[in-house]
Amino acid sequence: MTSNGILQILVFFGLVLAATKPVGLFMSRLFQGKWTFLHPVLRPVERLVYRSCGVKEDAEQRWTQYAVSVLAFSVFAFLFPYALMRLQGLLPLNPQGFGAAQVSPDQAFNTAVSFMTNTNWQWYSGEATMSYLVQMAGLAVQNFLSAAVGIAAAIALIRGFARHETDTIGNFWVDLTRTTLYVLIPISLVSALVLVAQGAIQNFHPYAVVKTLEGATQTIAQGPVASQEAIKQLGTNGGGFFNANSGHPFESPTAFTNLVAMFLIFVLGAGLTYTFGDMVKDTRQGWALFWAMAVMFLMGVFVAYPSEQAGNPMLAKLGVESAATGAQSGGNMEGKETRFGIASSALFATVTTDASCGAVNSWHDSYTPLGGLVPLFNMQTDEVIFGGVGSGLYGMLLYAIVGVFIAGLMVGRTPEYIGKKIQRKEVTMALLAILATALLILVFSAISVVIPFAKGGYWNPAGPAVANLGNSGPHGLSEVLYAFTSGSENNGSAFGGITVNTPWYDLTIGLCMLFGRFLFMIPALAVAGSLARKKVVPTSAGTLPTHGPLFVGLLVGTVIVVGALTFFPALSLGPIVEHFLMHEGTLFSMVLGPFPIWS
Amino acid sequence: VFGGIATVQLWLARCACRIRSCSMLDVLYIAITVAGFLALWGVVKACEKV
Repeated sequence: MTSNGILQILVFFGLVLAATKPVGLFMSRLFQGKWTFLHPVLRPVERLVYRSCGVKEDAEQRWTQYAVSVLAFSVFAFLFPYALMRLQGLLPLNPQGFGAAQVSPDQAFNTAVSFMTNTNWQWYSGEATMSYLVQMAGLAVQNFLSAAVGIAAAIALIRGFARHETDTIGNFWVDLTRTTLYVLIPISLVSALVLVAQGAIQNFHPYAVVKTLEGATQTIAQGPVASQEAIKQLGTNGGGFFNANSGHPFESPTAFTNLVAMFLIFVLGAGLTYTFGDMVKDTRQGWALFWAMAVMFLMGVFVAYPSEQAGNPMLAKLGVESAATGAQSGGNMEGKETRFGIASSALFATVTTDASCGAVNSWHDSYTPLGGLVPLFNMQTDEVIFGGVGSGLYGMLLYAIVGVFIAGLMVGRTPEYIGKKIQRKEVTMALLAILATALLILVFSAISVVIPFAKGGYWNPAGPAVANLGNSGPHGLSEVLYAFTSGSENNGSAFGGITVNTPWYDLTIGLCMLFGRFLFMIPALAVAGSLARKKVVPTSAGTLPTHGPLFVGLLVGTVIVVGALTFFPALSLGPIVEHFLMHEGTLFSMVLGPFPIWS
Repeated sequence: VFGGIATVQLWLARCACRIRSCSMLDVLYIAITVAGFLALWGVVKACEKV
């Protein structure tokens, strides 16, 4: 590691830390119906939305009504982008003339589910597939709405802790509107202007065709990029306008925009921890969650960064200089964001998978085995490290429930958290959420490495599902595992090296995204409803303090142990064995043809 | 119940398929999604009873 690299990481973390309280306090006031500095401008717009949609602002919902509202809204959030994609050839703002041929039904299904669930898994190159109308009205709109759904669910769970002896946890339509109007749109607007000022493009021009210095012809894609880029990061969506995502200079033109992108990914997730503390009237509880997340973030980045900076030992044995010097970066530069170097690439990879963002500025498939293990494990522990907007907080709160339950078992007391007794229903729901995503990842990965398809068939024209892998051996298994992990955990980043653009992968990853999103969110809402009904238990000498270092350690331990127990066998066959084999002198290089998973 | 609802959806969508760029595969994937949401609605009901 270099001092420059360490400084970059610490400066980034310092910025997130500094923003946590003001952002969290703003959201706390907003969701408690208090006046904020944006109300003079936006309150009339908010009222207009309620009037035009027939929303009764004061009507409260039980958790089942809240959950059904989320599902009903999401059905339309699927159908609208699906129709836009399939009918894009008949619609305006399409200077490149893209049509239904660019997006087949299975691909439209996959993309519509992807953006509805805040995953933004992309089988396609945006610049070669989607019209400007689809990018803006279909995909960017979903970036706002899916993020707002996640935050709404988190706020509902916070209310479950904050309220007592009531059946209701808020109103989904009000939470959705307030999140979009007061949080996502204003920050996105300012961020998009910053991006444009730094050189990100924002236009409706047809693609430019230019002659290069060598005399060749090159097509340069254009489009309304900055507006999509801002919410892509802020809403932890991650779907790039271009295939190169945040490594494309039109999306992230400078080192400053790279920093802004990472800051936007974390800022709402971090802020929500303070929102939690403020709404339950004990900010120490929020800070405990923040520091648990921070500890895991720093652990991840300080495994990924040194692993990449150490590079490939086999190249070192060949005499290649792998130490960082004033003249060269050293380490493993393959697939990195060459403008910003190893530290910034490893930091971005960690941040984007801590959160459920999925934007990338480097090629995770080219990371060293341990460097690639960090993003994979970040996702498999349900992205609770600041996390997806909203989903990170409610995920961490579910782990907190499991943590205090385990602690209660150890000392033989009924567990309590934030003044509520944690009983069978809460623990059952928390474990249902955690196990559902694990089941999706492992079952679909397992099926995909053994399922045979006839060559030339509909589901996977290349033949067996493993024929789509770019690498053999444990690295190939990592590629499959990463794809289903990214889908099930609603991350959306691609490890790469696997061709997922076939009906088999479009369907199965689409189902993982759909069930991964809602089989996590529904139990969280059920917990909210159950907790809201309970009485507050007074603190006693036997109550486990949940605002100190002991609880932070318990929470971090719970997340890591549950993740490790669930995924260690699969990870052992993937990146872990690959790491040891690399040090023994065996690499698993890119192959161009069909290859068995273990050769 | 899911099968019955999906059948009705298929029939309705088949009418919609007269739009030239749509196909029966569109119907299939939309039906899969709607069936998925119905299953999730079932999960909500099941969680209520826990």
